Amino acid sequence: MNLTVLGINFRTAPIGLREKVSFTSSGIPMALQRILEQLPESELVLVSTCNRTELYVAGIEIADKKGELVRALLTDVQADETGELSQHFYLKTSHEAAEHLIAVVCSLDSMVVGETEILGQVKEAYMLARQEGTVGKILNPLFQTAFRYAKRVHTETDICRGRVSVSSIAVDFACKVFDQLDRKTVMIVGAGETAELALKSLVDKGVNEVLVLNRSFHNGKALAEQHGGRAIQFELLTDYLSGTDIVISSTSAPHCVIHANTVRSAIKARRGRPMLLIDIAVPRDIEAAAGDLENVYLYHIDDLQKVAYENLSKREQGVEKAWRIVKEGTAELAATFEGGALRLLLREFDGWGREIKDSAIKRAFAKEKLSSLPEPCRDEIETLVQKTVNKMLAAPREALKKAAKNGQWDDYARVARDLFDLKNDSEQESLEKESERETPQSTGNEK
Amino acid sequence: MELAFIIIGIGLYGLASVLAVVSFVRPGPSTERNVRVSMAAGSTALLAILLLHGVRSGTVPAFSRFDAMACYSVAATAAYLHMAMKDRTRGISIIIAPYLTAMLILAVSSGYTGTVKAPAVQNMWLGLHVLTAFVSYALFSLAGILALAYVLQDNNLKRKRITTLSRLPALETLDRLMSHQVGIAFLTLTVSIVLGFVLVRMTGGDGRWLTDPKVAATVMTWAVYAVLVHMRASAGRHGRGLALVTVLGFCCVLFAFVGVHAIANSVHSFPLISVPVGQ
Repeated sequence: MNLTVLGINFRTAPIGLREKVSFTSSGIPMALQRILEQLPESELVLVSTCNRTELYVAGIEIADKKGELVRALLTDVQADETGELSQHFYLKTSHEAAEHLIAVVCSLDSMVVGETEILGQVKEAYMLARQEGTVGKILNPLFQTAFRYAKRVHTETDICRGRVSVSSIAVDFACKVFDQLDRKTVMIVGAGETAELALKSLVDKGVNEVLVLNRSFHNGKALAEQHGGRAIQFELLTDYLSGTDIVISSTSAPHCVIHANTVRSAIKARRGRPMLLIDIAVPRDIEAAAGDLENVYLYHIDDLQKVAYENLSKREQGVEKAWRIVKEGTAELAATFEGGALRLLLREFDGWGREIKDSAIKRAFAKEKLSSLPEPCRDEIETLVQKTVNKMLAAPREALKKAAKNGQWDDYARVARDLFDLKNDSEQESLEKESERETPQSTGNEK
Repeated sequence: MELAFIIIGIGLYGLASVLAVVSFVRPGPSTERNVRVSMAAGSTALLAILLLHGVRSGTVPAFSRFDAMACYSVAATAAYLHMAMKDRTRGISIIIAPYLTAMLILAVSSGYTGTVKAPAVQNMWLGLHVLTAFVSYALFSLAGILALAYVLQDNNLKRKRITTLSRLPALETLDRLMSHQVGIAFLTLTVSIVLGFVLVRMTGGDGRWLTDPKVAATVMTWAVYAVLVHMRASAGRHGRGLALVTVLGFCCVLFAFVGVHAIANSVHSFPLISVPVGQ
């Protein structure tokens, strides 16, 4: 399989280095054309996300040209920096590269295993490459197969099920309590990074109104403006509580700021309409007894983290099965690509055997003793020699077929070519020749 | 032929129950739709049986135990399908499909070919009285199932877990839907009760009708739902408390519909006159 991937990701480089080699969606087409000029006849797909930048190259031999490939990718980076960056890049070839691509789209190589954004990002990269005409008969089936196996992993394993971030779990609970978030009022008390993330997630879901209460009215106002909300004086918390559906609290106060009695009054005024309280503060902002009230759903940071750990654990249980599916995908790709190469090599074997037989027969019948043999005897000898050659080649043929099935194709094919002194064409050229032989009208040179 | 339709009908409800479990455990893009299709097909088969029984008896086919249960199941299925498609609710089928399957099996075990040909039932108003009662029972039952789902979801959320049960609809959705069902069912039951009293007057019925255990159970059910409707409409109450009252109302419905016949003799029980197939 003539495939190479050159990449840098969150495991091999810090964000400071990764951002130097990242590409925007609008920059990828230009980068592809530029790389294509340096690597003509190649097929290319460039994937760039916040966690990785990867260049998939097929159709040309570049496995031992990592430096050249890095320079082709990083034309905007200073030459002295290219050397430093180069050591953070990884280069994978053949089956390893195919397996890597499937693992990436299945989000097994992601920072948060099971996140589904990566599939969309790789699909977008593939579509950009298609628009630029840089994918062909190797990368097209490769990416299509990878997307198919990603779908399998998503449906057959648990690695994508359940949220694993505190903010998204808070939103999940909100969706289990409320019908339509776009009619709800959210109150954020204090401000912390996680609380803001939860608020942002709820705002993204379209909540109707955002109220921000902060000891510092100025800071509260800034946060409210950021999320299209309204800043309220901290002292008015009790007054606004009954009209609030979701409360996210994250102050640094050393004591409770929302007492159970306050919540009891609020829920009474709400006539039993449910209320969701998310307390992300440590020490806790909302009195635990508030959670015992009917129609009040109180979640502390520990409750949310517990759900996150449970979901993460479920995902990890699915990882092993997901990898088995990835291996199946790699084997399918190997069979797809090596099937063509296998057919070609076996045909070369036949040609080699025929050549030996013809040469031996020609030399034998040229001798005086055999030249007078009648035609039936000549045919019999010819058949005998052909059978002998076939028997000699039977075992190597079977071994090659097995190697193609077991993913050991590259090694076996190289040894076979060396042993039988067959011409060592690149796989791509061979496939092209085979394709031309199968569709002779496309060559325009048919005699 | 009749038996075949019944087997197909109940079989489709059984299939819907299995599909509902699968859909709940492993939700997919078309799994819930398959449940609905199976339930719709099952209720169509039951409707065919009811039509046959109606033609045979020459009146509304709702006076034998099987016909009554078939009417009830078809009405409950229609209400559920309308609600599920309008509000795109998922997960309720895991309760309603097995429930209706069990009720139908219970009904068919007491015979299915019996039809009532007593002269007393050859009255259109009586047919309407019975039909409205069954439709209201069906809608109350759907509300009860929604309330049950509410209590399950509430317990789940109080336990602070996101589990398979979390796939039930959101609390507020369940609250809103059960409020709709109870509102329509309460009106229908009121119409049925009024029709019943009018019929007693029209036919010169004696005091036995008014002191009948079934009437008492139905009035008790009506009273429970009257309180519920008041709490919702006038007091604007919501939440778990109301869900529990709705479950209580559902128990009253089951008692008035089925239970009362098991513990007391009622004038609402008509003698069954079996009409052989083909007549």
